[in-house]
Amino acid sequence: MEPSLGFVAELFAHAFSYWWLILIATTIGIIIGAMPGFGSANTIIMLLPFTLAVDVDVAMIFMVSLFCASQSGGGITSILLNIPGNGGSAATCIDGYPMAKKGLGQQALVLSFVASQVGGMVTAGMSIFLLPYMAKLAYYLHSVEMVVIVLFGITLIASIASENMLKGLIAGGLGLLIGAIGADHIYSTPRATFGFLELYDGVPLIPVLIGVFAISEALMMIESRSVLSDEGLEVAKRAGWKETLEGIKWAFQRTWLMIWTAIVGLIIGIVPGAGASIAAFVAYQQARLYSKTPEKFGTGIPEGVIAPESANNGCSSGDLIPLLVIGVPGGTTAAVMMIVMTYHGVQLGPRLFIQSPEIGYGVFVTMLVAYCVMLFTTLPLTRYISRLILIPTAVLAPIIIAFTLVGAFAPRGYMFDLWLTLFFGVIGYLCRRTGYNVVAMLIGVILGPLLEANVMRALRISGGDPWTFFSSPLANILWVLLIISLLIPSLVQWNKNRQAALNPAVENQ
Amino acid sequence: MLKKDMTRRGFVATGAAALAVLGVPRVAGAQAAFPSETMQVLIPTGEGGGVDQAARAFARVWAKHLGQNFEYAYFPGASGQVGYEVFVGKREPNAYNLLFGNIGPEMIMYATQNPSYKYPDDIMYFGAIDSDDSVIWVGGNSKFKTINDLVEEGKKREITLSTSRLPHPSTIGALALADATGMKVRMVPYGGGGPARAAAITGEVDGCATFLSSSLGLAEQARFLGVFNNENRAPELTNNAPAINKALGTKLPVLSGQRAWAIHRSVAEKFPDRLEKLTSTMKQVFDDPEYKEVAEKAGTPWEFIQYADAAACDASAKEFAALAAQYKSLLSASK
Amino acid sequence: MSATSDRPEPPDPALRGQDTREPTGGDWVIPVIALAFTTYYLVSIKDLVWEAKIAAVFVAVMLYLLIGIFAVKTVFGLKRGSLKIDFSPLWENWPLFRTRALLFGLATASVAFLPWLGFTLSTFGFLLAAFLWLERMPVKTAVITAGALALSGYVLFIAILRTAFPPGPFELAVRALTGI
Repeated sequence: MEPSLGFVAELFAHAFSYWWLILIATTIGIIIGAMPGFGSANTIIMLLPFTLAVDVDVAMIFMVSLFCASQSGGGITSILLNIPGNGGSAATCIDGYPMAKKGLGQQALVLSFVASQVGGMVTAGMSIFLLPYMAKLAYYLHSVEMVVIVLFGITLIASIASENMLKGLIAGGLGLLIGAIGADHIYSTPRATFGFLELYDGVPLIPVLIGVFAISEALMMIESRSVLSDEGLEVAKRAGWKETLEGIKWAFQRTWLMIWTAIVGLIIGIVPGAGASIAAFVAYQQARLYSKTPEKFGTGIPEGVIAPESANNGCSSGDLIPLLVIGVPGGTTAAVMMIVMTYHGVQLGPRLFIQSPEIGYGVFVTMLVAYCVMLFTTLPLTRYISRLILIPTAVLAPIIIAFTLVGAFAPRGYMFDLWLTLFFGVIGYLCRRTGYNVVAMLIGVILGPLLEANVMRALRISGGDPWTFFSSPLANILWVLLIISLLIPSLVQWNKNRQAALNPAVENQ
Repeated sequence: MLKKDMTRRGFVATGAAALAVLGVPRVAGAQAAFPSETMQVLIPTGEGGGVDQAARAFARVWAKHLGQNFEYAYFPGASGQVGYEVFVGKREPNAYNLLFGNIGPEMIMYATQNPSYKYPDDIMYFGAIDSDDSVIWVGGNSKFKTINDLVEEGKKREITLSTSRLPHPSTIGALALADATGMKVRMVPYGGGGPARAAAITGEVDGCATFLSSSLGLAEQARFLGVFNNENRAPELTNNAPAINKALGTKLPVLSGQRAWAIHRSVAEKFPDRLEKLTSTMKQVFDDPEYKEVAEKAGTPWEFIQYADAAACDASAKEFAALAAQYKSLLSASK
Repeated sequence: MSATSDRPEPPDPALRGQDTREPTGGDWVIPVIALAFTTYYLVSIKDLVWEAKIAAVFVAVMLYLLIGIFAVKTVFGLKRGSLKIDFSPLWENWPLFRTRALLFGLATASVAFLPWLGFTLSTFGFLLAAFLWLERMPVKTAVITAGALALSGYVLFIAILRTAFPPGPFELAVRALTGI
């Protein structure tokens, strides 16, 4: 099933011949991705009349480019405004926004784009040659294993909240319970919906995201004239091309980080139903864990931007693998792509690579080319996009509120979601004013439902036997890794304390 | 200031013009032949989903015969309950507002979720366009070769079957099968068709219970064991799987999903002529060769395209409501 | 780190002659909301089978515990004098709170009127009011800026992205005149 190099080269030539289409699609994708509430899935649905009318290879080039670009674009508002464009870029806020406040917004944008694109290219490239083996992963990562993987992300609540552990855990717990509103995962019976039909399927993520981040951020930011700190403002005003180059340098000084976090994203993406948000949080948690300076995470460091952005783009390749190899879409965008491919009579699943390998492998080749094209289009723009935060807050805050409310409304089209957004705006404001970490809460809201779904499913399959969580070798390995990852920070701290205790003793002598 | 006033005046004038343009045909339309304006379709599931595609494919051809275009609005949520509540509660019963849904799953929703509208008092299905059978299939590498293998094993241990969600016709089918044969099955909901199919293919569960058409593209990864109908209407697409009732001698109900057009019940009394026009033009679609082409492109095998009239839809709806009530304790978390 | 306040070496504020006590009170709003919601959640699921409630019960117990610890910490802090009751962190200072309340009030109003005004007009009104009152922009600049933003919003979100906002007079007028 592995493709010959000549064949891949032909595919490259084909994809490159559509560079103009890729340029259009990636531009749309980046814009859509940066707007909270809009994403590749609803855009591709809207463009169905186009994708159904053209040849299937052209349609695929268009859709795949748009899909990758939307993941790439999600980080823009996370960094500049502390407003994630989608769940996958929520983790980017943690370090991206502090960087922007320091006046390093342009570098942070460059880091985000380079990490997205390198991460995307690495995983797309790997997918071309390792596809058959990758597909096998879906045979091993079942509900039990997913429980442990999601737990990796959830433990981030504790490390993010380290500044005020108790409040952080309360925020995280509240987030978990908010995430548990709505239909239960076995019987679809609604819980704690306050009688609102609109909450039957759970609290919609985007209105919560926009409320907690955008609305409350807008309310907070008007306390000063600028989003940036005074020194930050000076730094940002002086910014030029040098900063772009600096961002690129910082990114490639951390090449290995970009690669392995992308692979984390790829692996998580392969599991149907898991997505970019879990990938980004797990990658961030892992990057923090293996960092020599974990205490600097959250203060605005390049690693904190690279890890989630590389991972959520690595996830893009992963998302498409089950669609192509098994014929089962792993996410919403993949499901829409399936509509188009079915319409054009393309047989998905194992037969795809026998009957029309040019489409199967073409997807990943297109991804590579699209990410490559984006490197050239996005990096020069960072200098101009980053100027967004020079707008005075009294003008910026109303604009943020007006336009993010559109995003809160767009995915479901319910007026209810606008009220929900305002409500979560107040909750977010209260949290920030009184020291409750909103990211910790959000991790609960995003990952809680995933955890519950997988736990309940694993229990259901095993007939309610809790030992099922330790019944597979892979899960047990993951458990051990999880426990190690929980212990490492305490061990490192213990070691530091011991050394600190020894050193003054030495000095005193 | 002057400029501001101008804008305001200009705006008022434009607004008035707009109202005039929009309003006039509406008044005239009351006397003109139905339909004189665009049809409004409410879809109780997501944009771009199977129901949406089927609706669009059908309406593309229907528009020719009806002489009006269709516009769509989507109200997904709570297994369709949101859409039905909005339709009954907020859409005017004037025959221009239609709902397009799936009778089986949505009547199960009706019976298990106690929504605020009443069937058949508030809503009627006036015509179904297709019928998609429930099936049980196993992964291509599964040791189960026939439905009998599965039933036999199920008498020794509990069989796990993935499904998109518990309140679904295929779940009722599997539970009814278990009742009839004495096998034990445990349904495992995956919250979506894709993950449910993946679970069966990758061997997390023994098999999958679902609607047939969504599983047709899986090729040799899936082995169909049986169809919940009295005959298999697409044997060449489903490795000649038998009808379960034939293979096992059971008398299980037919558990098909029927996608159907619905309307407010009151329309039938207030505007019988409009309903008649809708019904008669709808029937013409099935004979239009263009429909065969667009339906298949939308992913429905032509074998499943099947017209059913209002009476047949009503019978099927009531049967599903009764079945769901019978299995309610297994389908709902409420004690 | 949270353990700092528990350390048995509270600096005596009286000795330093200044108030070093940390405020508490405002930080009880979130726990109170959490308590109320948790209790409501548990009531809402009391009649469901175990599979539908086990996860929530687990989180609820954890939340009760955490909030219990928080309560104990607060009481001890107040007794020991390291905490004082002070709700002011909620609003910081009055002028700032007024500005925030105004902005939030305007946003709420724009959502409330949206079903009648439609996206373009309600956005225009919201932005205009915010620019005039928050930024004290000159009227002309404010009208032009808000108008341009609302119009671009219309083009992007309604005309191109087809967001299904209830149409207002502006959307209806444009639709009638141009057919978009």
